[in-house]
This record gives sequence, C-alpha cells and structure tokens, in this order.
Amino acid sequence: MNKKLIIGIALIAVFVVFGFLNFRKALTPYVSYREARSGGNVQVMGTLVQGSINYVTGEQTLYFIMKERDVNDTMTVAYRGRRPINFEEATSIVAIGSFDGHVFQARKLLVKCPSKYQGTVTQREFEGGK
Amino acid sequence: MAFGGYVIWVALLCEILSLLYYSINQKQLAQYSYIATTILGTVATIQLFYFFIVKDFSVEYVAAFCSRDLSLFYSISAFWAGQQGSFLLWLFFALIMGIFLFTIDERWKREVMIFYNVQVLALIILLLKQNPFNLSTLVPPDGTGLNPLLINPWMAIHPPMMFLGYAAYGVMFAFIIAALWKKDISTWVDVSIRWIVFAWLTLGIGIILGGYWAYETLGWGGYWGWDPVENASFIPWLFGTALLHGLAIQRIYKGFYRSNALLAIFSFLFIIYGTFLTRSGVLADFSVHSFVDLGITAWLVGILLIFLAGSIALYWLRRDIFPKGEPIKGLLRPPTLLAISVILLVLSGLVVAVGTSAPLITRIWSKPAQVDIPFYVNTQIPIYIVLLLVFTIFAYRKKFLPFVIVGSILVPAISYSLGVHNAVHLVLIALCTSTLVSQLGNKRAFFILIHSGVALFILGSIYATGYDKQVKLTLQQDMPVKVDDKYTITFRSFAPPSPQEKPVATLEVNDGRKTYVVKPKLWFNQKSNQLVANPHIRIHFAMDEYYVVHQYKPAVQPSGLLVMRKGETKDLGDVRLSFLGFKLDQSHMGNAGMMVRAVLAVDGDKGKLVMPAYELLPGGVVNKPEVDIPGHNAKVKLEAMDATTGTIHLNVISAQGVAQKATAVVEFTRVPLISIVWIGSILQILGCTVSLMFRHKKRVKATIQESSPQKEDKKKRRG
Repeated sequence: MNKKLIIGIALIAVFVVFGFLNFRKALTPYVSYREARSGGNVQVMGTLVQGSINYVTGEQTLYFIMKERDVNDTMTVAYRGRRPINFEEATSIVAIGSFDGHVFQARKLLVKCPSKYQGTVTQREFEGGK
Repeated sequence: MAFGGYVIWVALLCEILSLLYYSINQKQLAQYSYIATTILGTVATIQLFYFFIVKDFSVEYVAAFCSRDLSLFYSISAFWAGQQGSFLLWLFFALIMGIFLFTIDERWKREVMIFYNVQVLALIILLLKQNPFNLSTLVPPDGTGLNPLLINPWMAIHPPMMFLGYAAYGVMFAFIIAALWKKDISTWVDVSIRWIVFAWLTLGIGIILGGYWAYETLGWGGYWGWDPVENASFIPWLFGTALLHGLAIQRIYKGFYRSNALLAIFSFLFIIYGTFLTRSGVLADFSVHSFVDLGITAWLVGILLIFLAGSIALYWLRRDIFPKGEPIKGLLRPPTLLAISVILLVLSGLVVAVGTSAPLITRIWSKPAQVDIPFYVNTQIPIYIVLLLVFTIFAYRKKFLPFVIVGSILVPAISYSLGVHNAVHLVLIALCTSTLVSQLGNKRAFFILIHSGVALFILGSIYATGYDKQVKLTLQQDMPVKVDDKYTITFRSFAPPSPQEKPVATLEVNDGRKTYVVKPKLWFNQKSNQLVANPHIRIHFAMDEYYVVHQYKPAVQPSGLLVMRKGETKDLGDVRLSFLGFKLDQSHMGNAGMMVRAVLAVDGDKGKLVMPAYELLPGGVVNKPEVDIPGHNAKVKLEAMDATTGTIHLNVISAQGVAQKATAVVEFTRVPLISIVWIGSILQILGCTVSLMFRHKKRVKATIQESSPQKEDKKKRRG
C-alpha cells in the first residue's frame, strides 16, 4: 500500500512539475509595447491607427499599426491568416504573439467591435492560419 | 418594473418561509411555501416568455434581445440570450427540480430541501440584482434583435441543457451537504445516484451541443477552443465524471468515502466558480465570450465564499464520521483502476481550472496573463494516455488480446501511411483503438458505450484538429480554381436566393467524380453592425468539406460600345440590354428639331426599360444625354443610329473604375473524421442514458421488494 502510494505521489508530483513548466511556457502576460520589443510570448493591447491597414494578398498577411492606450507608442503588427471581419471598426485590439525584431508577429487577435450586445460577440477571436 | 419583477420579490419571501419552515421541521408548511415559490417562479418565467412572444419592447431585456423580424421560435429562445434571462431559466429549472425532490426518501427530505433551498435563495437574490423585468424609460420602435450567431437551432437548446445540468448539480450538492449534516455518508449515494447521473448527462449534452454549434455556425472549423466559457462548464463535468467513478468504488468496494464527499462538493463549487468567471467580467480582456459585469461580481464572490466556507467547515466538523474504507488491493484490479481514473480525472479538471484561472492567479505576483491553448493540450495528453490505458486494462479479457494487439498496430500503421507522423498522436491512436477493441470483453452496455464513446471522441479529435487542411482562395467569378489536383471550385454568383433571405455565395465544386453546389452565407447584420459568415458544410463520414466565404467584391462594370439591331440582345459585363425598337418623341414634332429614343429592356425584363434619347436640335447640334441603367451602376448613351438599317450604337458607361470580375474570398477546409467526434459524443450520451434507465429499473425493483433498508444501513455503517 505504502509503496503504491509513494509511486502514485511521485508520479503526480512529476505531472505537477510538468504542468507548471507548461503553464510558465504558455503564459502570455499583458505588457507594454516597450516590454514586448524585448521579446517573449506576450499579448499587447491597443487601438487601431486609422488608415494603417494593409493586407498583402501574396503573403496573406495583414499589417496594421496599433497605438498603445494612454502612452505615445505605436507598433506594427503582422498577422498571417484570415482577415478579421469588421477590423476597421475595432475599438480595441489584443494581439498575442511575439516581437521578431521588426514587427510584432501576432498568432492570435482578439478584436472588440462596437456592438449593442452584452452577449457573446462584443469580441471576436481570430487564430492565425497554419 | 413589470409584474414579473414583483413576482420574484414575492417568490423571495416564500422561499425564505420555506427555508424557515424546513428548519423548524414544519414539513407540510415548508412544502406549501416551496410550491408557492415554484408557482411564482413559473409565473415570472411565463410572463417573460409572453413578453418575448408579443415582442413587448417596453421591457428593456426584451428590447435588447428581440426584434420585430425575429421568428416565433427564436423570439422564444431569445429568452436565454442574455444574462438576466439565463438566470431566470436556471432558477426555473432549479425550482421544478425541487418539486421532484419531494419524491425522495422521507428520511432525507428535510435536510436535502434545506440545503437545496439555500441555493434557490442565492439564485433568487442574483436574479433580483439583475432583473429581466426592468422597463425602458423610452420604448424603442424595434428591439436590438438576437445576436445573429445565436439564431441557430442548436444554440436555442444549448443553454437550457446547460442550466438543467447546473440545477441538477445543485441537487447533488444538497445531497452531500445533507449527508454530512446527518452524519450518514453511505446511504446518500443510493438516494441521489440518479440525480448525479442526470446532472452529468445534461451538462455533457449541453457541452456537446455548444461544440456542435460552434462548428456549424462560427466558421472557424473547430468545435472546442479552450475558452473560459467552455472551460467553466467542462471543469464541473470532469469533476462529476471523477465522482461517478469514485461512487462506483464506494458502492462496490467500500472506499473513497472522503474523496467522494469532496468531489461532490467541488463539482458544484466549480459551477459557481465558473459562473463567477464568466459572468463577472473578471476575464473581460481574455475571452471571446465574456459577459459584461452587470454589478453582480461582489454577490457572486460572496455566494461562492459562503458555499465554499460552509461546506468545507461542515466537512471538517464531520471528519470523523467517514468509514475507514477497505484497502484497495492489486494493481490491475478494477478498484485500483477506478481509483487511478478518479485521480486522472481530477487532475484533468484541476489543470483546466488552473489554466482558466491564469489571469487571476498571475495577478498575484505580476500583470494578469492568460495561457495559450498548448498549455491545455500538452497537459491533457499525458492524462488521457494513461486513462485510455486504464480503459483498455479495465475491459481486458485474455481471449481478445490478439484483436487488441492487431488493432492497435494496424490503425496507427494505416494512419501513418495517411500522413499522421506525430509520435504522440500515433500513441494516442493506438490506445484509442485498444480501448475500442477491448470493449469486446466488457459486459455492461453502458460501459461499452461510454468508454468507446470517449475513445472515439479522442480519436476523432486527433484527426480533425491535427490533420485538417485549410486553403484560402481568392476566386474570380466563373474562373475555376484547382485545389490539390482534386477539387475544382468555381465561384458562380453572390446574391440572396430570395429578397427575404440572406445573401449566399454559390460555389460549384467538382471533386473529381461529381459536381455539386455549395452555398456559404455572408451577410451584414444591420442591428449589430457585424458581418456574419456562416459556413456551408458537406458532411461525410471520412471528411467534412467546410466552406466559408469571407469577402465578396462585386464586379466593376466595364464600359464599352454595343452595336445592335432591332430585336437583338447583348451583354456587357453584368448588363444585358435588348433593343426593342425606336420611339419617336411626339412633343418635338413641329419644332425644327427632332428626338428619337431607343427602347431597351434591361436584363431581359420588359418591365425594366431604359430609353436613351438622340435629340437633334436646330443648327445641327446633337444632344445625347446619359441615362442610368436601372439596377446597375452604369449609364447608357445612344451614340449613333441608323434608321435605314435599324441599327443603334450604344455607349455603356460604367460609374466605377477599371472593369473587374466579381471576386469572393473563400476558405476551404477539409476536416477529416470529425464525424467520429460526434459519434463518440452520441455514444457517451446513449451510454449515460442507458445507465440512468438501468438504475431506474433497479430502483423500482428495490422498492417492490421492500428489503428493510434501515437494517442494511446499520450493517453498512458498522462494516
């Protein structure tokens, strides 16, 4: 019984460590643009700079400039994948990804559009293509 | 506030009375008060339904989720589209379920009803904090309307299922707390097991309906995104699953008494916790869904803390009543395997809980952060590898060993040849197969159904989410595009099939054998200011074809000259003109000039005429005015005419720039074997239903036989 218990606890402990490491790895903290530029898997929030949207069909990549809230800082974001619907009207954008030295490569976008609904689609999520 | 709002206040009073009467053991009066609460709750529910059916926009909540153009069916389902209505629905289910609780064993009724009433009370308080019966100060002429994504039959039944499950989890909680209170930790299971299975079943159905809806409506080709809202119901489901396995140990092998009590408590606490996560706005910046905080956050936290502190304190006070339990022996014997399953399922639930709570946890030491999907996937995989192994061993019979071995080599080998090269995926596929094949040795129908359902679900998920192929195509009208040398897709048109319907893109697809038409929708919802893309799915067993149209650009009309004789019809771009004849304008007769009009029918429709004029003014001046072509963004001018040959020269002038064909941006995804995911889900539901009926039969038998249960109880407690 005791032997079994010890093995069990050991296995669970290994799993907890494994889970913790995965947790650390998958964590994407909200950071300022300045912090984002120092690299790492992060998420940044901001507003769309009007007229900055550029969809490059050949690369199937959406480029746009985001402005940090309450801070005078902007960042170019590249997003490979489907162009979010109603992107121009976004009141707030969350980009999840990492800075590659030139632009912020977003893997995922969370777009909030003005909507009268309190329900599910005040925000929409977009996952980068494979 | 409308009538229903006051009704809820009266319901609150009746509910408090019921609670008080039960506390002082006035069962009859308590029961009457409870029935009164239920009637009042039902009246409020019916009234809200009524407001939705007659579209009474003076009620704020109705105006927010209903509109004049909404069909009756969806007007009814708009009831639970928002937070206030869903709480009322939850309360309604909870109240009705409480009526069924009157039928339970007399020895349990009082305590169970007390702790059940506490929950109902909490629900009523929450409902009063966000009353769906508030009236608007200014009655809008039309409501905002239902979120277009919710206009879907699956979404109409998904929330009721969820809330039915939530309410049933409440029954389970009332039972375990009553058991702790009464210091009877053995017999509570026999009285409540059907409730627990029912709770687990309804929540499971609710989750699967939500997944199917996401796949069918949202157009991203998936069914599960590890979003907080999804996780919030998945965690209690996993705990409920663990509890059911734990209860099997308790009932058959006399063990796990403590764990089961804790599992039952936490399954329900996770329902409240999930409600808190998704209804309070704490995850507003982290979720696609996230309900806006309607000012109940503090109440939810308070209720959660009261239930948490109360149940843990009671558990602590009763820590000595638990029977010691018999030691679980043998590594590969059923009790050990069940125990391992419980531990794995709890781990699985906890991992999801930690991941979902990441923004709250990380807030403690740094900025709030969420975890990505890989966290969930990476941590769940080892758990399910062991779990599938346990499934296989559990059903293992020696005579089926060859089949198991052959199957779990063959299926991964075939998968490998079809492109599955990921080692972890292959291991999972092998284990799913071994689980499936080993079910041959299982005796109980519901075990076979549920366990093979889980195996099929995991198997399907691996193929469907790991090996789907997605291409994004920019299609020009009538220009076929080849995909992977197999499919030829031609974009034909983009228009509403009828004026009342939503616009669809008509795509002609040839898969190498036959040609068929698919019609994904893309439409703009005026009310919500959103573009909505509903996919068209061609469902096949082996591979779903999933078409979504993301963008449509109408053709730019070309300009050009058309030379036509009387009776001829010619096309230029989208414009089709038929030259019917000349018309001499009489009003100019007698003057020095003259005016002739060419009578043209547009798009072959003689009711849609355009008549450009050719006016000869005195002094040889010619006036050739440009006329709008009805239904097109273009004008036409009668450039020249020859009366003798009956020929006209028409100049079609486009109002836009460079001529261009209409284009549609289409996403074409092939989702392999997602059918297995649904089949697996249905098998699980079936298995669970079978077990529910089986238990019911057994119970009926037990009541008929009337074997003095009290004596048995005592024996159990001593043993």
